[in-house]
Amino acid sequence: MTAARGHGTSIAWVVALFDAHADGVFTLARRMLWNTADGEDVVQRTFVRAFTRGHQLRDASKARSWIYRIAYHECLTVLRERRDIPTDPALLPEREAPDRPDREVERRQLALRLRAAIDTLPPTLRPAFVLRDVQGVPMTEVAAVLDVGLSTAKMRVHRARLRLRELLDEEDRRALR
Amino acid sequence: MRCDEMADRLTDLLEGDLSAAEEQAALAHLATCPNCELVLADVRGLLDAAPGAARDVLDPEARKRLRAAVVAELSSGDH
Repeated sequence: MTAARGHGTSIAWVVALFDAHADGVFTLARRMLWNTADGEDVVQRTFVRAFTRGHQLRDASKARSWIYRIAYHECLTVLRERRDIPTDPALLPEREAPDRPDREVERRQLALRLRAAIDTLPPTLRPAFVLRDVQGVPMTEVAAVLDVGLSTAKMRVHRARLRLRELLDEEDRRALR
Repeated sequence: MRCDEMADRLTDLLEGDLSAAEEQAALAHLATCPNCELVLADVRGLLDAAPGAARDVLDPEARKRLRAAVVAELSSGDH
């Protein structure tokens, strides 16, 4: 893709965007919405919107943050429509159960615990953490996606990290009792 | 540096956003404070694990279906 105006008028351009960013959009949506089917719906809607809004993208180097921003707003729309956001982790769907206690499974259990803990982060912190620390998006892009200042984006990531550390630490302490 | 100040600077330290003097002060505190050192190690550990723990990949069939649906919707002009 080159930095020129009007990429968004081409279906081929949207397909190229889809191939490059569909998994990233799905990760953001899946973590924000706790549901695979809704995550997939957001993927589809995001790339359709990319076509209709493609003329707004002036700098192709910002395509990733631009597409994530569309996806983020699609997720907010879904959450607003639901108005029944589960806050009890026990209500979250598709929770995977821990498995046998060998080394590989220990790593998998840590991953599952962390995944579950991420899902309990407040809605303002979760997308910031997912973008920065799961997807590896630079902090400046996180700020652009969330439509906040750099210091706010960094504060959200910071709070999310400390909260996750607390959650995992509390679990460890409970397990030792 | 106090422990609460260290906690406030944790992300700046991890992101490489501290000035040289601030970084020196943070590292000096960490060298003498096992609690803050443990917090930093824990956060580093969860950051190492985060991509593998929470990155989702579309199921190949779902990816194919969604890609086709996007193309069909755009081709139909119904968007």
